[in-house]
Formats: sequence, structure tokens, C-alpha cells
Amino acid sequence: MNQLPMLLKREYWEHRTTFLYLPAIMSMLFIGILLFGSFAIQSGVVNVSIDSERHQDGNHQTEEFKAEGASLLEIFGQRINRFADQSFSEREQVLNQVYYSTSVIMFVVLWFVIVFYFINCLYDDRKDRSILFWKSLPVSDTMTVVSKLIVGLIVVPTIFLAFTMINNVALLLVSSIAALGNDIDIFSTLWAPANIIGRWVTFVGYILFAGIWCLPFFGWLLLISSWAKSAPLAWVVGIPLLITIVERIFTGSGVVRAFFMDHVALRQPVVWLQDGYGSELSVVSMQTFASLILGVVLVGLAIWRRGYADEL
Amino acid sequence: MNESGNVVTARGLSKHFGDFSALDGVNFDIRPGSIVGLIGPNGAGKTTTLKSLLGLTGFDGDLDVLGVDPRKDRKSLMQRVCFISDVGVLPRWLRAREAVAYIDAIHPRFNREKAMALLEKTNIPMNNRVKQLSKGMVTQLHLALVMAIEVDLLVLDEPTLGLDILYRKEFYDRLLNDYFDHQTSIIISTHQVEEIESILTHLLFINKGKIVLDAAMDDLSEQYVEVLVKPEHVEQALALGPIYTRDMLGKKNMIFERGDRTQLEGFGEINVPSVADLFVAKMQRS
Repeated sequence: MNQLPMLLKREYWEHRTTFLYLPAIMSMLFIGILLFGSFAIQSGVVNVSIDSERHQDGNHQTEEFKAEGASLLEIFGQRINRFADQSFSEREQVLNQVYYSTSVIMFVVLWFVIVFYFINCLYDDRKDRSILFWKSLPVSDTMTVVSKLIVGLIVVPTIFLAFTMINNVALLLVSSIAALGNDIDIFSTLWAPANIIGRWVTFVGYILFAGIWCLPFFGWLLLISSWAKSAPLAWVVGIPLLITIVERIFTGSGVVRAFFMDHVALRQPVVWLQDGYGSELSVVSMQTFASLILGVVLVGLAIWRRGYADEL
Repeated sequence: MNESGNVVTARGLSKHFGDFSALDGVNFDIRPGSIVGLIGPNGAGKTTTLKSLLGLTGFDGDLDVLGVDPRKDRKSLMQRVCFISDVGVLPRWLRAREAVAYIDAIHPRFNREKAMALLEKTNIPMNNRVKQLSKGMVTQLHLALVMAIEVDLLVLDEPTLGLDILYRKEFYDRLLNDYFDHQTSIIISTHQVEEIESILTHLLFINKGKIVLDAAMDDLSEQYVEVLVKPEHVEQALALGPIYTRDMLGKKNMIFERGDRTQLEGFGEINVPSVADLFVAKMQRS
């Protein structure tokens, strides 16, 4: 009998607020703001005075923009026409910034949701004694921990990704509608350079890569969650902090610290995400492989501790 | 059953926390189809014994539950053993219908129709979460779930703790009438002896980590005699070394272990001691 689907469902039942409602509300807010913005543009009721100056250091371009008592529709029209005149790669660059910055908020929230899920998933049931119920059923400790790992690394990111995709499509549609009435080719101006399909492929790759890259961190969270008798968050932060300080005092180096920065703060995966799928970062590297091994060891230890876990 | 034909065989079962011995060389057997009362004061080692049986804690010594070492294979053990601890262990966020769906998918011996039929007899709203149910309802829910699982051993750890008398009575009535079929064995730990006395087939008294009495209910009357000793025979009776003495309306109530029945009959009225009195007697002496 395959227990995995029900074990995943169980996690969803317990955490549907953060797994589903949270990204859904974020997505609704985003779309609401978009619609409000485009309504404000189209209605032409808002008159503004803008006196903007933009300096781009990269290619020494200076843009000056002045508008006195113009409607947003006029300003948007000027903007979109100017945008349409730019080269394809320039448009690609601008849209990359727009789509990246509107998507990244989802990934930041996702990161916090996963981290706190892992910290508590093997701790909360010991604290509220419901472990005595879960352990009275024929589910192995390995299945229990692995199901939680799959939830955190695949199920929850997939849900957040789905809402990110909805946001991307909404942005694409709303910006296209807003641009109607201007003499521009919407597909080549707004759709093609946005490359949202390619972007989604990148997101999927990013989620898979970050899952392996950060496996030591996630495995560490599971181990503490399975082991700690109190305050798992304090142990999660405290032990690495202590190691870092000891390393600094006695060896003066920061190898461990650099490792934490890389694999916890997602420095490398973020760079990879920002630069897109054409990034030069080698995904298949010794460090990725080492992360996988270390992560599997830590998850294995978490499973072993779960075998001895009791109510607190 | 294991090789010796028992549901449970425990030999030299021990558990130490530093200098403290929660269990100190405990031996006992549980035969198929028996209802065993594991009775002792708080901190005697009841819960530790049951947790050892269920593979929820480590221990020293030999323990065989249905041919399985609980330390090694909890998963396969739990297909044949069910467990209710006191009322607080169902997760508070779980809905009643989710609990049924979960066990249905997880447990190969769960009978969904039976569980639903049992739940229909209660007032439990299936969409409610455990935290929205009263204590009594949570117990009804847990009992209905467990009663729909066909197992060889049912372990109950203070199952009615914190419940009022109506629910306590209903719990044991249901257990005995709807569930117990003389094939399943049940082990119940409690310190409320009177309530379960009538349903037990075997008694295990435990105190300070040691078994102080291990007897079948049917053998109690042969092993223990309660005598309401008339005042004029008190001296003689005391000389025979009763294990328990209590003043009762001018007479002395004494319990003797393996006493000479005809001799004791001469001292006064003879009875089978109640489990509660026997419990007090055994606890005082250990």
C-alpha cells in the first residue's frame, strides 16, 4: 500500500494556511494592485506632475522626463512608445527586472514558509503529544521524515510556483491591455521579450537546484526538529553561530561561515536565478554533489532520532 | 502470537534514567484473549512498560510482542497492535473526517464502514476539528477509530483519565460489548482499579519498577483470602502473618496469602478480597 499520497495530504491539512492561503492571498493582492493601477491609468482621472531624471550608469544614458498636469494615460502612452522603440535585448533586460522583482517576493516568502515548516514539523507533534497518535499507526519513521522532506522541497514550492505563474500571466495581460490604443505591436513589445515560459523553466530548475544546494541546511533543520527538547529555533541558529565564532577565534578563517552564507542565505542560487538560465554558474559541481551527500546524512540522522522520539 | 504462544513475553525488562530505575527487571506474559490490568501508583512504571511494548522508548532486556522486537520494527508491529493513550493525543487541528480518511489509507486492517457506523451513533460533527470537540467526544472518536481496526493487541494507557464518570462507564461498556471478541488481547493501565475490576481476566501490579503481583482473576480466590476476623481471634490471626489489616466496625479485616482456608474460616467470615484492597496490601508491602 502506497502511503505517500496520504502522508502528503496530511501535511497539507495541517498547514493549509501557510501552504495555500498565504500564497493565494499574496497573489490576489498583487493582481488587485495591478488592476487598480491599470484602472487608474485607463480612467485618466488621476492627474500628476512628474519631474523625473534617470541616470543609467551602465551605458551612460540619461533620461529626463517632465510632465505637468498630464494624465497617467498620457504618461503611460509616452512610456510604452519609448519602450517599444528600444532594442529587443534592451526590452528583455527591462522586463527581466520587472518580472524578477515581482516574482522574487513569492520566493522570499516561500523560503520562510519552508524553513519554519522544517524547524517545527518533527517538534510540534512531540510538544502537543500527538506523536503518540501518529506513532500508533503503521508508518515507518523513514516514511514520516521523507514525506515531510518532499512536502518542503517539492509540494510547497510547486504551489508557490503556480501562484507566481498566475502573477506573471496577470502582469502580462494587464500590461497588454493597458498598452492597447497605442500604436505598438504588443506581442513583440511586451510578450516575446518577457519570455515567461523560459522564466518558468528557470524557476523549476531553480527550485530543484536550491533543494539540493540547501539540503544540508534543510537536513540540519529536520535533525534539530527531531532532536531538540525545547526551543528548536535557538538550537538551529545557536550551534552554527557558536561554530563560526570558535572558528574565527581559533583559526581566524571563515570557511564555515562562507559555507553557511552560501547554503543558507542562498547566495549562489539567487545569483543563478537573477542571471537566468543562461548563467555561467556550474550547477553540476563538486559543491552541489557535496551538498547532496551532507544533506542526505543529516536527513538520515533526523530519521534515526525520530525512532527514539517521545512526547516532551 | 510469538514462539511461546504468548502475545507478549517480557524478560528482564529494564529502563534506567541515571540512577533512577523506571523498570527494574520486569517479567510477565500476556496470553491470547486476555484482558490484563496493569495497575500501579503514579510513577510506578506503567507508562514506561507500555511504551516499551509499543516501540516508543528504548529499554534493556528481552521483549517479544507478536514475534517482533518493538525496538526494531515498529511499523509492522503497529499493523497488529493498536494504542490509545489518555485523551489528549489526537492532533488538535485534525478534522474527524480527515482522521477516518487518514487511517483508511494508512492502515491495512482498518474497516471504514465499521468506523462510520460507530461514529454515526455519536454526536460528533465529522467536519469539526478535534479542538472543537469536547473531551468526551474526542475519546469517542478515538475509540471508534481504534475499534474499527482489527488487531491482535490493544494497549490502553489510562484511557479514561480526565473524563467524567458517564464517559468512563460508556468507554468500558463499549470496549467489552462491541469490541472484545476473545481473540484480541487487551492491556489496560490505570490507577482507578474499581472501574475495570469486573472486566479483567488478569492482574499485573507494578510498583517502583517491579512486578509485585501477577495473577489470573480466577486464581485470586485460591491465592488470597479476606477474613473479617472476630475480636476474640485477632491475636491468633495476626500470628499467621496477614499481608493486610484494616479496622472495620469493631472487627479486623485481614488478607492472607496462600492461607489455610479451613483454619481461617474459624476466625470469621471469608471473602475474596477486592482488587482495591489487594492493591493497597501489595503496595504497602513493596
